[in-house]
Amino acid sequence: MGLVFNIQRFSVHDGSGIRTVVFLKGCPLDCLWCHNPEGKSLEPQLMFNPEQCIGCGECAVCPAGAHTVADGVHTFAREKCVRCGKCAAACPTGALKMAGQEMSAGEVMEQVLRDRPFYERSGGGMTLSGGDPCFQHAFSAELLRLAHENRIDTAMETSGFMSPEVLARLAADTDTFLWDFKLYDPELHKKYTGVPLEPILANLAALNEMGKAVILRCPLIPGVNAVPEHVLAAAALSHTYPCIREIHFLPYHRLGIPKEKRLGIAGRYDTEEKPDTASLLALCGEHAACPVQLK
Amino acid sequence: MNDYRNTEKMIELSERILKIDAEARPRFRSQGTREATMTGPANDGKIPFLTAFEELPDAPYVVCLAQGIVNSWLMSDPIVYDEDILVGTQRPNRVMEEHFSWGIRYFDPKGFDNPAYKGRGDELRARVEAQRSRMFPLTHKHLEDAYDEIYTKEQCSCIGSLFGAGGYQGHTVPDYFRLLRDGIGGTLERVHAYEVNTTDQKKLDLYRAMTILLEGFTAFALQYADAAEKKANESEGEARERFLAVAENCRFVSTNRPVTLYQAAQLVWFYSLWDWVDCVGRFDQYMYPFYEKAVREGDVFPAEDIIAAIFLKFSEHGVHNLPLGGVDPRTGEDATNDLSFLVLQIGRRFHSVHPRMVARIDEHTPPEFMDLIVKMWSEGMSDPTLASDPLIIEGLREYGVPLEDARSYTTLGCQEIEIPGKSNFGCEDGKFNLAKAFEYTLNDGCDRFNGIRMGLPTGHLADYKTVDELWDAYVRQVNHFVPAYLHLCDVGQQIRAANAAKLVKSIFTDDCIARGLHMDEGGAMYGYGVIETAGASAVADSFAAIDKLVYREKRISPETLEAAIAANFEGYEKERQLLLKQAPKYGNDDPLADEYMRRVLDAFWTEIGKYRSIRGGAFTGACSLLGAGVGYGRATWAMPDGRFKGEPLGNTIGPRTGADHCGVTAMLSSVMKLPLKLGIGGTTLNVLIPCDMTKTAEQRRKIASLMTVYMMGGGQMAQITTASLEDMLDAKEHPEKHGDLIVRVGGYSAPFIEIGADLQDELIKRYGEAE
Ligand code: SF4
Ligand code: SF4
Repeated sequence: MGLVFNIQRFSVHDGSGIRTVVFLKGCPLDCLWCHNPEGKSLEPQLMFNPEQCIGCGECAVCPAGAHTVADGVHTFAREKCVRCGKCAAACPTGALKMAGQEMSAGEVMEQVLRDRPFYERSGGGMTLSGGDPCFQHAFSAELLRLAHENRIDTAMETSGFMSPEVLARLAADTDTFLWDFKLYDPELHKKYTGVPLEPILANLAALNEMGKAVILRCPLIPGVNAVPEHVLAAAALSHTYPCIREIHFLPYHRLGIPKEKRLGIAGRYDTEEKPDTASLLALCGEHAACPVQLK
Repeated sequence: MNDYRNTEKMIELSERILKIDAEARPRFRSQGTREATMTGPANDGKIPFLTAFEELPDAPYVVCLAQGIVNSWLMSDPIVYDEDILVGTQRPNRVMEEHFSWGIRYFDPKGFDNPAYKGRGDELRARVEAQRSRMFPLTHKHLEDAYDEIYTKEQCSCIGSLFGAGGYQGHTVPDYFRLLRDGIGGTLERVHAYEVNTTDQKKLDLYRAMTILLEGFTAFALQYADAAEKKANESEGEARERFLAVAENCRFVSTNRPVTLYQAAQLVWFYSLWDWVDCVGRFDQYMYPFYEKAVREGDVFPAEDIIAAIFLKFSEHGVHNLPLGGVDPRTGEDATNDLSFLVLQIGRRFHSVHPRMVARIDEHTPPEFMDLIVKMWSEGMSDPTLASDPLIIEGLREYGVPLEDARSYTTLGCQEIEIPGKSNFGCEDGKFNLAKAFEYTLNDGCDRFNGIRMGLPTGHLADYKTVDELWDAYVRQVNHFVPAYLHLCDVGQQIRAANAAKLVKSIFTDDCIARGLHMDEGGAMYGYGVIETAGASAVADSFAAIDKLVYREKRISPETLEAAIAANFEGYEKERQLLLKQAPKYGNDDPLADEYMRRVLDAFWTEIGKYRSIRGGAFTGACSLLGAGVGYGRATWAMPDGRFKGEPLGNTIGPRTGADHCGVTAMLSSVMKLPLKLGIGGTTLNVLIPCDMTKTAEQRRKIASLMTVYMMGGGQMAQITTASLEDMLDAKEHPEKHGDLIVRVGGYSAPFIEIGADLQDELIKRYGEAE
């Protein structure tokens, strides 16, 4: 069984063709700007969106007494919550939702296979994302294998932070890697993501050996890595590793912030600063050995 | 030289066309749009139609009618505009002139109170009254009487919320192939050939009427020739040459069969005016031989200019449907040609909403054709609509249409389907609100607005032990109405038949001439009846909600749901939220909800398919009526899908607005499960595609693949909208209606309604700046 927090059909922005993206819980990194905060933890989490709450009191089923409603006003004491999911099942409005659902690989595949005609016409397939699919690697490997058994193209979005053994296992059934390159400088990498950069680059080298297709993905975070050094480092990587077919830059956005609030996590990173993405892109384009795109 | 297959570049139109465009644009749809032609006052007091009846006191009705139509045309001044190369304008609005395509509009005596009659209103009214019984063999009264026979006065006052019967049905497409092959003169000969071989007085009357119409048409074309000649005499240089060419062209096509593209275009335009300008059929197919010849040998004007000029006429007069592409009727092979591309490119260049273009898609549609189509959507057009050749042809075959005819189908009206030149299509024979029937089912057969008993006393929700019992009750309720309802639809058609409402079209509709019958009395080869439906998705979602929440999970008791519905959810917001959010909705590839949608349509379409319309063919379903969902929604009470009383009902085949939130592929997969072959009257689907999913050529290919799967996998028609700023503004106000609005935020797609107010505002700002 695996823990899935979303299955998104008709994804057309990442990878070839029309794709279904399976979002798996759990991530080894802890990036400050994470846009899928509900994907980080390897446990189901309760999300609460007060904007949708109508104060109906159904959530009072909570065995831990985390929800109280008095005079139509609802209060939630998150610290009492033991993540049993009962309140989310009772809530009529969707104000309470569990992020993370136990699913078998077969159940996930059943969803993925539904869009097979669309994959076939468009050259699409399944993409694993997260979190980071390498965290639930046994489950991921199973999904990838099943996809290939069904002759469906596979891609994986990953931080690249995993052991060489896990990489080898996942790479066996992955056609394309969407490989994060978050920070050029090892120290800063450790500071902002919580893990060292070196193993990620070592894995990239291994992929290059294997001859896998890689798309390098670089989020541009103002005040962190939206600087010429970083994009030049990305360009340099494309020379070192010919397996890199394209470099994609992802501009910073604030999608993660409302979700952090719903998870009860204090806002960790927020900026309205707008870096000059166009010239960074151009700079990278000048030096890279492959096409560079803004996504 | 323009490359019509190049999607990257707009075509460049000639100086001449740009001038015509500049001159015509201010007139676009201003001269009395098609929809409004029956209402205008006669500003000069002339009533050409009435005169015909007064001057021919002993003539049979069809003859007077034909003469009235001709009078109407000949009495309006032919207008040749300064830049025209093709001529022909709509008649000015007058009371009592719409007696052909619309079907008889019952005459409104108050029309004569208009000051434009300058005090002559009473006199005119008296003259009309004197001829009235001759001019309107049957009137709307006939239908009202039929209602009275079946329903009580009380019931009649609210049956309109359940259905409408005997609507107008002007749409049907004449045989433009035959028009171009025979010309007006050849057609006249054809009529005469039948005329001399019969002694049947009724047939003779019809042939005389057809002769009057055809000769009138000739006179009409000659009026334009004279007007152009007059203009030539007043002009010099290029203009003089041009008007002389126009005059010669009109003179030629007034009787001869066209030889050149220029002649063919003029004839088609003249005739579509007489045919109340609606749908021009497979234009790229019947015009292609002329076009090809013009490209090869040259013509009075360049081929591209002639096509652009007639396109502008179509735009000016609001032509509804212009189908392009699709298969060849004989070979079944893809017949998309250069002209199909050219017409699309012209539509793209003008960014026009009329004519409404439709692309027929088959297995071998050229990829560049799809590319061009998606490119047009990406530029903010929602044209062309797509129509699936495989599904529609198979559906028509199963309905009983021979293969070659099925392959030559055309779209028309609000995207309905018919066989051009051979059908008396019952577009809007009637429309039926399935949601209202469901309302009766939960309320012991009574209307919730006023308590009037309308249907069978099937009980209340609490009386049904299982969801299957509820289903049976619903089906019994619907089927209870069907016979009387279809009878009323037929009565509506009797009015058209008695009034020879489609006399002009009958000349170019097989087999009217051979049979000596006009279209509405059985002259057309295919006379199928079409029933439009509204509210199907609301019924399906209601069943899904009840199935899951009441019977399976028992989260709501039948009594509570009954009370909540009766109260229009006032004081029951918790239950409404449950119904709205915790029950599956059709359009998300959910097996339960989709299966109910399939059953709802299958039950209704199969039932009406057991009956034949008086025109001879069985009734078939349709789901394409623009706007019906809003009107019927107002008249429908709260539903167990969480919908409040009065909110709009879906009117297309798609999910209720905003109810789909699992992505477009899931929505299309839901629709592909439906028995759309039974709804061969035409079912349309609105597909929303975010603007920024069509920015690059690579993305557009994906959209092309997406829609091709739908077209080849069981879909019927689809209309695409790219999401815009307005959608976002509305989504902020009414999030519940926009669950399907997906936006891109920094490399990430998310439902607009879930990204939080800050980000929504930012996006709106960004889009606002871009627009
Ligand atoms: S059940 Fe949901 S809507 Fe009701 S009070 Fe609790 S959180 Fe709010
Ligand atoms: S998840 Fe369980 S423990 Fe947590 S608030 Fe909901 S009901 Fe209570």
